Amino acid sequence: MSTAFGHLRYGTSGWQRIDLYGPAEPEDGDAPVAEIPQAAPVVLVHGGFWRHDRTAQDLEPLAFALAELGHRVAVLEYRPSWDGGAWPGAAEDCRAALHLLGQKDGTWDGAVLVGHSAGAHLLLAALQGQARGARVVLLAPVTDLAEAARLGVGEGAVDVFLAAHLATGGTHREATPVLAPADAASVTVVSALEDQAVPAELTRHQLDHWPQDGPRLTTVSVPGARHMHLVNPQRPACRTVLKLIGGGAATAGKEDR
Amino acid sequence: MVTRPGDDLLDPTPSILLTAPSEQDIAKAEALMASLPKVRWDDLEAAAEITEAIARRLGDDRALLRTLVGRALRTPELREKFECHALDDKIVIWDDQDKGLRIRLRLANTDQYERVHNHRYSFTAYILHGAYQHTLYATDQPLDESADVSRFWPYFVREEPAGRCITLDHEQLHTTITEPETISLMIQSPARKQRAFMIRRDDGTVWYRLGAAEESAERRAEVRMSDERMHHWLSRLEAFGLL
Repeated sequence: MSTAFGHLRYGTSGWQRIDLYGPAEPEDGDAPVAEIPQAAPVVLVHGGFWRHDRTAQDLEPLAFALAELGHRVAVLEYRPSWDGGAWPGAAEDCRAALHLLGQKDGTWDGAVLVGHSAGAHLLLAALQGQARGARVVLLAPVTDLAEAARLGVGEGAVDVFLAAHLATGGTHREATPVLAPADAASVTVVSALEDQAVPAELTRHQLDHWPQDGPRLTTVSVPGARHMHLVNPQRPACRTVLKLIGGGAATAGKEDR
Repeated sequence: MVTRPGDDLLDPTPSILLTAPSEQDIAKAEALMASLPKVRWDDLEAAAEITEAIARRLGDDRALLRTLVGRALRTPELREKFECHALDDKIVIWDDQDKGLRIRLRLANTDQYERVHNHRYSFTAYILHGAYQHTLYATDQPLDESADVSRFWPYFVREEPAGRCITLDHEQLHTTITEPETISLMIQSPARKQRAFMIRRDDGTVWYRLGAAEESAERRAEVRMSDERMHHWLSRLEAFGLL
């Protein structure tokens, strides 16, 4: 199956764009439309510690893999800390991008929303208070900014991201999103057990402090996986992620909470 | 230094030397620079995307660029890297090798000749003023003193106007003939090899460019930009509205 491409823009900055991937319409001789799997659309938010150590482009292999499985895929790009994305800029970008997708004739209704690393923080911040009720998958997430800052995650990236907010009396806690049950139908947190970018201590802390009255939480841990393995289809760990996004059961370390 | 009547009108004392950037502006600029990402130069596509964004962020914010240049003038380890060469001069405004970010202004001289060359580093150039006539070359021979200048074939020729960003791998052979006083903001990777190859198109002379660490003290002194030359360039940068 071939893959189609497209872009949407949701703002004037070059960063404020959505990269689109999807199964191409069949040409003569290809399988008829009815045989193309009807999979849920997927929205991906990349990480990179809010400063774009990684960009949307880095999720292109995952987007291709999902498109090959019949998913339409939207990869959100957003402004980095150093180019207008300091808190709350990047979170507002993600919210605006989700809003734009929501206006597209139902194409993106029922989308599975996936955030990787700091992208998980932005995804949750964009969803907070929106009552979208979507299925959410967080990969090696950094969501508790107070703890992430305390642990020095991303070589001080949290305090750079929050610098203006903190300088005006804001707190890390205010920038740490908390979902209400209506904001997400379910949340699945996938941890890479050999993650070199997100320490296990942060992952444990975030799960231990997950709001009891929040959306239903499922945790999955993937042995042998490093931080980027979860989004790299060439790595075995990504098979677990593809199954989870597709709605299948995880093969490793699943726990409902 | 004024050498002829009227020269002082051509090169007035640059205001950046009269009014240095404030400590507050420098602190803000340093905080911004510290927030930049590490560039993955081993993935040129990724490096191109992020360095173009950084180049435009810095090059389009003239107040920030002025602050960074003003800071470089006062930072001895950067000032020592201001250099003059046959075809262009350079002013280094930021140097963070851990992040793969050496950032400088490339200042083209009036004299130009065609030399096919590669680089010790990969780079992104954001053209702020002037233009390049840019040609990419292929060859089928080793890049050493035996190279035959007739066996460098141009396969891509393009004018690169002000406002364009280009990213080039360190192995790519090319020439850039620039309009006089073409100014580019360059972001270059850490060195990928010890020496860059150069061959003059009109006579086939081959030579190499080394990194500063491999150059003799005599050579370093030869290329170091004089204060007079620096004043000239600062004045021109202000005249072009770049600072």
